[in-house]
Amino acid sequence: MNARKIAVAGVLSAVAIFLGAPPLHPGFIPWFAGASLTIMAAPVIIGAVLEGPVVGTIIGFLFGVSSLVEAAMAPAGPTDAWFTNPLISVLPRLFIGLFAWLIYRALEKRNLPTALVLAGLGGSLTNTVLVLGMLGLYGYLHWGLIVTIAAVNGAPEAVANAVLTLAVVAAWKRVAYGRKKGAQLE
Amino acid sequence: MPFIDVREITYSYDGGSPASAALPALRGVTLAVERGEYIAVVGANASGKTTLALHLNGLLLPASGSVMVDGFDTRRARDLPAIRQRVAMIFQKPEDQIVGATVEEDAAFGPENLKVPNEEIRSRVDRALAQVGLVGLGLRSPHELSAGQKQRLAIAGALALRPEAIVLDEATSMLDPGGKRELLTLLSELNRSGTTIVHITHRMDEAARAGRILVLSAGRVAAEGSPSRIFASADLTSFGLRRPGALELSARLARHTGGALGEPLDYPTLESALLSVLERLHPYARAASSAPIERSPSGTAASAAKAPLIRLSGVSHSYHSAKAPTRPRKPRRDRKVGGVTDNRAIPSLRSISLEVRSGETIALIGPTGSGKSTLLQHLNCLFLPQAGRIEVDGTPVIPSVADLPSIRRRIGLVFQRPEEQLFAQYVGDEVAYGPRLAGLGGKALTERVRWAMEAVGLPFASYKDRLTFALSGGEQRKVGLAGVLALRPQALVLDEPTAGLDPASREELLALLQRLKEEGTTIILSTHDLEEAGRIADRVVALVDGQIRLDLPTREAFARARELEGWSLEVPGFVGMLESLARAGRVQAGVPLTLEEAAERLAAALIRPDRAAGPAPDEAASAGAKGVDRGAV
Amino acid sequence: MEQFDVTSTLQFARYVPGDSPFHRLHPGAKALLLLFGLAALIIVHGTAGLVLALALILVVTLAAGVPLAVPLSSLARALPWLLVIVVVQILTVPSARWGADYGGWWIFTLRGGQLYTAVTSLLRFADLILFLGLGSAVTRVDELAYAGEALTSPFARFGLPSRELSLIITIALYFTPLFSEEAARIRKSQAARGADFSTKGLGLLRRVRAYLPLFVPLLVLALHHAENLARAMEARCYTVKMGRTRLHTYPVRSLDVVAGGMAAAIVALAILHPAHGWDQTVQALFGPRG
Repeated sequence: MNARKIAVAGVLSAVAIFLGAPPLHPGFIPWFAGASLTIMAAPVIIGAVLEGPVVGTIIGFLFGVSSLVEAAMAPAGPTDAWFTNPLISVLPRLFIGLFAWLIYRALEKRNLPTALVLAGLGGSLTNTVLVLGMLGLYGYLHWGLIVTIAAVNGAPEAVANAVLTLAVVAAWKRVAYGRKKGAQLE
Repeated sequence: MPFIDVREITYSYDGGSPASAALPALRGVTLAVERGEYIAVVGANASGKTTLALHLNGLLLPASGSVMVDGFDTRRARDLPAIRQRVAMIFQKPEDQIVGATVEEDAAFGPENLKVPNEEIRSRVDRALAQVGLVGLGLRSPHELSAGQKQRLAIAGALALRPEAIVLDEATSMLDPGGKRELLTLLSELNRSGTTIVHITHRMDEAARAGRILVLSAGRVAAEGSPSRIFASADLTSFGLRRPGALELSARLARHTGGALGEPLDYPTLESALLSVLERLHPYARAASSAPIERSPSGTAASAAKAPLIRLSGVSHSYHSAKAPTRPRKPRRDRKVGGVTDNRAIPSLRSISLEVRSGETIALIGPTGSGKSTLLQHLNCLFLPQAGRIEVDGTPVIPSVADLPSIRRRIGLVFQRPEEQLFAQYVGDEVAYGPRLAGLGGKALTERVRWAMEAVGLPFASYKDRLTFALSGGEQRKVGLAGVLALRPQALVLDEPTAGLDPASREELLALLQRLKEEGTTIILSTHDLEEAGRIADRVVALVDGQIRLDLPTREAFARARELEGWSLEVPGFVGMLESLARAGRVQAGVPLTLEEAAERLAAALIRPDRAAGPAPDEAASAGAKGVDRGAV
Repeated sequence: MEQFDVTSTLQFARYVPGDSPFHRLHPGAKALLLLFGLAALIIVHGTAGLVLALALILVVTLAAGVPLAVPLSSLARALPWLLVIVVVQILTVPSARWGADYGGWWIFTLRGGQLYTAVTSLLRFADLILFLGLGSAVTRVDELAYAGEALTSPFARFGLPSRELSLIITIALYFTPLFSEEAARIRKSQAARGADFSTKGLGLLRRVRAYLPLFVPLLVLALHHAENLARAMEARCYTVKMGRTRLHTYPVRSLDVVAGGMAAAIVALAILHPAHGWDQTVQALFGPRG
């Protein structure tokens, strides 16, 4: 791994860890009924898109481990107990980077902004599906409930991560996106 | 053969988008560095100096021309480790160079990469830490170091490579004056023991320590020579640089002294030169001594009857350190800080009382860590006091009731490095963010954005549709500033706005602040540089260790040089020099606020020392009131 | 009323300094014990194993010189949430509906099986929390960084970036509190321009856009940090080739090998589950299955 990959992996892992850190949990955008959209998948996706699947997997791994430790040391809600199980907190996160990267690579040549959005959606959904899937397999949640959560929480969360991925990577690569070709001023 | 041999190199960065042409950063630069030299490379922003630095160890490869280090060509990839072992590099941001969990691990990074045997690494690390003065801190977490210490750690990391040369790319720009001094002293020491030093900087006073200076402008070498030769050429301004104060002063007095002052690089030298000139010119006349002329306090006359714009009464604040210490803290005895007892908290403000009157310009000075940033953030109610009270326009600010967003719009706050708050895709939208949130729309919004952008020097039409993140660092900073100005705040609070800026940018900013001041904006800025305070501030407030120790009109504050020194704050050199000349009876007593004023006083002393030194009181009052270095560098 | 004070309680590794044999274990051994211990706790499905684990963890905690208050306080904080989860679980998961019938009301029925599941779940979560607390109490931050490398170094020859991993972990741990400060500053900057980040009643896209001024600058700044850091690393002769030496070596001692062996033994025990009989007795307390 070259210096750049190491640096990006380390730094974006730090962002992911910070976003999930108690007590403030900055990476949580308030959603309905006390639930939140979490954007900790975004650094993982961005790392994967910019530097490849290995970096993405490492960031995902460190994100997962940090959520494991944080759930055990400073739980903030009832669901934190589930995340003390590494099969729920770590294993699913290893795949976020991989899927995001695959999607990005397939589409980047055709249309960069679209590739970024889809990579963001894909990465976030990977997180949602795998985590909820493990919860279901463990019997912690009823499958019906799981599907509801995936729809009500997972889908909007995917959009949030996609928007963020697009905004950040486009800014970093200095690429324009969107229909407007300039500021919205009269 | 020179140790570092740079021949006619050119380099271009790709433009931000396919449409813009590649910007040539270096257009044929030649430089030969001999072993043991101490060279300074100076230039304004975008002169190419950083680009040049990155070529010296092969981090960048020239498009044409060549760079040879000790006979190795930087274009040969397999020689790069050998090159980088010989030419080590230190960068501008201290925290972006740390890779170790402990201080010694970080210093060991280089040797580890060179595959130095484990036992030898230990001795190299110990020696390097000793050379930079970080002995005993080996097991500490790098978090615990100050910015200056972090830079010294970076140098230790470089020294552990046993390099022949160290290149420093603006390594002092993010340090406070104390940190700068320490670093420069270290560099001189290292050079004395044989290390070649290449110091890239935009500050001429730092460059003055070198044996040879290279001036870069627009990608070319504009001048080269010893410090005295370079300083003598009056062209420095056109390169966006300024001469050390003493030289500037002596240049302005040249027509009265006919060059008899020589080229003093510092104030003590200038002082003795002045004394001898004055002795020769006016051996018998003595300046009318004793009472200094009472000058009316410069700046807008404040109406004492009206309530102050902002008033802090007994405000205290303490915070929990964000950086977890690596070893468990010994329990502290409880401290009472203005009524807030917390044995884990660090008090940052202790019972502060301060009044800010509308239209004033206040300079907040103080050593690093004295609480300046925290204080500034109370002024716009970003922080609400843990004890004490804040009043805006006479009304106490009560968190549950007060309209905080509206207060924050009236009192704008510009943080350090405003470019770090940018998020919008297009510049126009970024600047429009604040006013849009305030409810502005349509044509009014556009006009506001136009005004703000033009004010900071970014032409509205050509910049509004540019990609925010494709701009240069300096341009991005202006966008950040415009974003706050667009709120048309009544007062502007700035946290070290000139930190790290090159002289040209600094002048631009001070000119902007002066214009805003003339339009009636209240300005509060924190700074390490008292010369700035002298130029635009009506009042100086010194914050030391969380307490206000001084709150005086600028001139009176300057008169307290001794006290300020006790707090590691330095008045501009010309203040001390004029004071000492006044004591010698050569110049009328009185404190100059700006270099220009000092020049006027000295000129008067040179012409007619027996008159009350200085122009007629009314002339002086108008000159002092402006407080601007007219015709400045 | 401190809206913007940064209280970064990144109490990630609640390290309790000490010199017990557990503190002095090789970081790799610690990592092995941690991993296998976690695996064991997940695999074990009877109360016998969980109770035994609980006892073992508490004993080791005491032996390591870690005051019991430390892990127990973590547990205490988690307890209310644990109870909520457990209640939700037993009420909604159908497979637990066996055993003695304790009646019910409305749509909820309470059966023995549900109680049994509740007890088991609680025990498991408690074990996990206490175990992780113990692990972080005896591991220093730099050992943490090395642990990853220690575990994966045998696989380095197959391309696993083992040495790099400890570097990455160190960098991550270094920057995390830095981002805490920078995020606070960004948040304050935007607040100073009038942002208040309240998202009441806003649709999805509006909400996300409201938060962009917070997250975009942070991530872009992170990438800048990474670029500068990479440059500094290269300037210090970092190359991709393997074979970097190191300042600190962590010698492996026989005690560490024993510890590793014990870790494997624990997992084997969990799988083989010798206390089957005990479990069945306990289960029977909650009523007949079937």
